[in-house]
Amino acid sequence: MSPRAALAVWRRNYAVFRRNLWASVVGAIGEPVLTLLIMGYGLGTLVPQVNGVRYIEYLAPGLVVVSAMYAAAFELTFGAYTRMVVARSWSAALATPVMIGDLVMGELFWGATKALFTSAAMLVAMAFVGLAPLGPETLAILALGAFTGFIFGAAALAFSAVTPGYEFFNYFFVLFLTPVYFLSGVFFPVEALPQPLEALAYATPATWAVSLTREMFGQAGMMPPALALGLMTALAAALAWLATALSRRRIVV
Amino acid sequence: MSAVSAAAPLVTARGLVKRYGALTAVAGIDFDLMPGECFGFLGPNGAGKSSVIRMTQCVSPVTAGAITVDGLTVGVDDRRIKALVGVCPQEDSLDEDLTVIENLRVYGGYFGYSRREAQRRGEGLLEFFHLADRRGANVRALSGGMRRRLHIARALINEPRLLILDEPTTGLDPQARHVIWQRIRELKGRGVTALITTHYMEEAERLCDRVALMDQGRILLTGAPGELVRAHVSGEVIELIPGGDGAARAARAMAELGDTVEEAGDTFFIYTADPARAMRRLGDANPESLSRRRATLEDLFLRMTGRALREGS
Repeated sequence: MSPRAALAVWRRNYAVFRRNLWASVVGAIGEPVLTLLIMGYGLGTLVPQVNGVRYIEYLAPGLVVVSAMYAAAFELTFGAYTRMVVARSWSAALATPVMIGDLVMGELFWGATKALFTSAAMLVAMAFVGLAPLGPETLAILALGAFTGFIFGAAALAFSAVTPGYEFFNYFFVLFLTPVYFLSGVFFPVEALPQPLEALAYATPATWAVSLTREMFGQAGMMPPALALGLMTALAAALAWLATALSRRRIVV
Repeated sequence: MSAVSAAAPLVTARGLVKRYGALTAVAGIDFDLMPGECFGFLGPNGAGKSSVIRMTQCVSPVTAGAITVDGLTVGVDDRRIKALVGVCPQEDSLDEDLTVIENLRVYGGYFGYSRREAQRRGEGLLEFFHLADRRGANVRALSGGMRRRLHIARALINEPRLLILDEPTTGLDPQARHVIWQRIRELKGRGVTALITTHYMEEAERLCDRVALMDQGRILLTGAPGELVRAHVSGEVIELIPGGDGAARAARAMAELGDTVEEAGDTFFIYTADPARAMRRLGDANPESLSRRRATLEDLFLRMTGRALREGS
């Protein structure tokens, strides 16, 4: 892998992103901000306190990382699949000194960048209603958002590398991402789930990220931070390898 | 030293094989491409032309045999080879989300050029390809001919030692084709080494110093287009459509002439060294249609590969 070539791939995506900046902002934070306000204020009247904080405060930390998760997942399913297969952007790049490993890394870091951008937009929106911590922990939250994006982006790219067409992304979103989203401990403590589901919740990567972001927001996490970070790092490495291997199998024939 | 390197081939392939599972696309071919030469691969669909190209540009792994570019081995020095090669692909791969100049700038970035350097090179290429007034246009707004020119411009951004043109004018109207041919000839005049695939014989005759005729993964013949035609088909070809009642007489006439005859549908192709005599004799058979013309690369090609329709890739 050549960092310079990967950066050139990243820059191509950034050039397109800059042209469609506002569409990206709305797409990235529209739904999570609505979720925060409507669930937070609406459901919050029924659920006055969770773990000693107002319900809207309980929602905020997790929504930052799951919005990052979705941003990267969308980018590296529909976006990357289009570039890989439909628009032939990958085949254009592969006719230059860019190699398949550079393309995958450029895309993964681009997914992480979209996640970073989304996390930042979410924090800004939350700052307006006084929900975002301002200080060194802000940077930690942004880094966690980017890292979460890298992981789910890698899962998304691995799926893109095997999917026969756009319709099949339903499998990725409905059978994988949506359960992960609801089981991640964003909306309620995972201990509230029946035993098998609770165990499953602890096995999903979004739960690890939500646990970390809760600590960064000054709330109690669900697992030791070192464990969460270790699990995320191992999964990131495994998924980056998988995304590279599957992309190579599809493209280098 | 310089005399030696000038005589060394830029591309050398030996025993080159490409298999996709059970399908053999390239069945062991040898060729040399000399510096400054324009070399064409001709063949029907599925002949293996594109597989040869894709191996040469290091995007498709070589199954067996070896290919080198400027002394570097494909499969070993891929990144370095790719820096020396410019590729105009068969299928459109312009970036629809970017403008004309942005397409060149991003592509230059893939070669490691700074934004400024890529811009400088891009502007020069847009001039050369008469696209400068479209520099800020979205590529979606370009005509087919302009898009093709932009593909070739993009392929030249690294001033390649080897320019690969994979069916450069397929699907273009006659005006657009001629513009592309002019540009390619001008590049040839500047000493660019080019590898072209085409199934247009006219294109090969106009552009290529040498051609390799491919069919079913093998090279059937290699040589200069004119020499190949002279060596393998007689000077002229007569095309004959006998018409209903004259069929028997025409058949007798052809048998008497003793020339090589091919039949395709209702038409006979007579390859003759004495066209005047053949025209006289066949004219007596009162055919529906009778005409003579010079033999071309196309006749050679069809004789070598047969006139049956090719299906598949």
